[in-house]
Amino acid sequence: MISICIKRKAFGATEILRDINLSLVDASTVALLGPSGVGKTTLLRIVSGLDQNFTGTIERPDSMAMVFQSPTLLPWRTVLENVTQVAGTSDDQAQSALSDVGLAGKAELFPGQLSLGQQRRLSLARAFSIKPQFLVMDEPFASLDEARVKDMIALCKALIGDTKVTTLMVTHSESEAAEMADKIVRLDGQPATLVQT
Amino acid sequence: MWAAIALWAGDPQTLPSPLSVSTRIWAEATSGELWGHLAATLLRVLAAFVLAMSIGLAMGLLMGRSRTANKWFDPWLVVLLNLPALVAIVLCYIWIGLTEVAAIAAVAINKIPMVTVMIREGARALDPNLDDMGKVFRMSRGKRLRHILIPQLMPHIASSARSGIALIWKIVLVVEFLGRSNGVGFQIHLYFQLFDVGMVLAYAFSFIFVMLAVEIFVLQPLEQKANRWRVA
Repeated sequence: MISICIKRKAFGATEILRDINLSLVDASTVALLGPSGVGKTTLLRIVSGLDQNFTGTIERPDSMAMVFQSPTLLPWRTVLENVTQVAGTSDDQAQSALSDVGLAGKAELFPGQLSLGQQRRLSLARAFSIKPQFLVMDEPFASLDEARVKDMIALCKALIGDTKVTTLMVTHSESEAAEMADKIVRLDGQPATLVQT
Repeated sequence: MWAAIALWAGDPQTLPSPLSVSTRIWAEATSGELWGHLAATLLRVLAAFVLAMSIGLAMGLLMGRSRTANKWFDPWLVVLLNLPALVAIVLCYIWIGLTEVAAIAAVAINKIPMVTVMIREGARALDPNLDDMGKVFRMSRGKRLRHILIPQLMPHIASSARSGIALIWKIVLVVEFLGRSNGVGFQIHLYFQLFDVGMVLAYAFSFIFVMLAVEIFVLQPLEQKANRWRVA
């Protein structure tokens, strides 16, 4: 069980989040919807431990991975090194993760030699290679065309199903949320609070 | 062109021909005199370079990533940037003595501020998303430095290294000129007193060749290796 309790988060005098209470059942996928600028990414940064300047508590396992809004790869490291050096996995584990996302045979290429879709797959491989207990995804399908989004959703669902990882996903797309999530929550208002749908 | 001007000048004492300078380089090389002085200068250049790059890299990173550190050290940086090389050299020799430590420290003090400024600019432009990614995946500090920080700073490190090595060897010559008993600068001082322009040029060109070799066989291959991902 992952428990998120944020009483207050502010930047200076501007309050962004208030009274956020959210629990994620093990192996479930929760989608967080909300308009741009409402505070979705701020919430994810708090949940992932990147922002600790808030009032409240987060209970989550140590084994956590994140898929960022942009692929956030190391362009100066090979595809394989982007998994092994960042996630700390062995070459075999990394090769297996690359194979799972359809990047077998691309290990020695650099990220700049991959298409955006392949870069996103690499960021998925990096996240799943450590077999996390908790996965955070921030707009993981942004900037992809419709066909690629469908492929990526199918791939993500398969990987999440295989690993039974508890997942919190931020998206602005109702259809992506509906396809991916067991539960959808909405962040809205100023300061933002959660509205269950 | 040099040969033509030397011929036109007709005064080998003031401007010897390229052939005459080459003959002197050969004579110094075969006698063994040249190598000892080249090695002494090269070792000083290397020591001052490593010292200046290490301290400049650390200070640049600190000042680029911490506003407080930048606020504290920036006035000192401006002072050091504007400190004439000769003043630093003279003060080091007076305060530390006519020693190797003073010579290398004087050269490094002249270069550290420039490296710091270049690295600070690079550190200010680091991608915060990569920082976040390293933290989320719990990369160790050492790994973040090696795989995230240094590669991003590499263009700044390479340009400060290249401009640094060119500046350092020129200052090393001044340091040797003023207070050492070996090295290319010492030899240039010696032959300056004897008004032997041929030998001054022979030692100067010998060391320029050494620095060209460093550029071709060390700096360029390192730069190519670091930039492998850009051309792939």
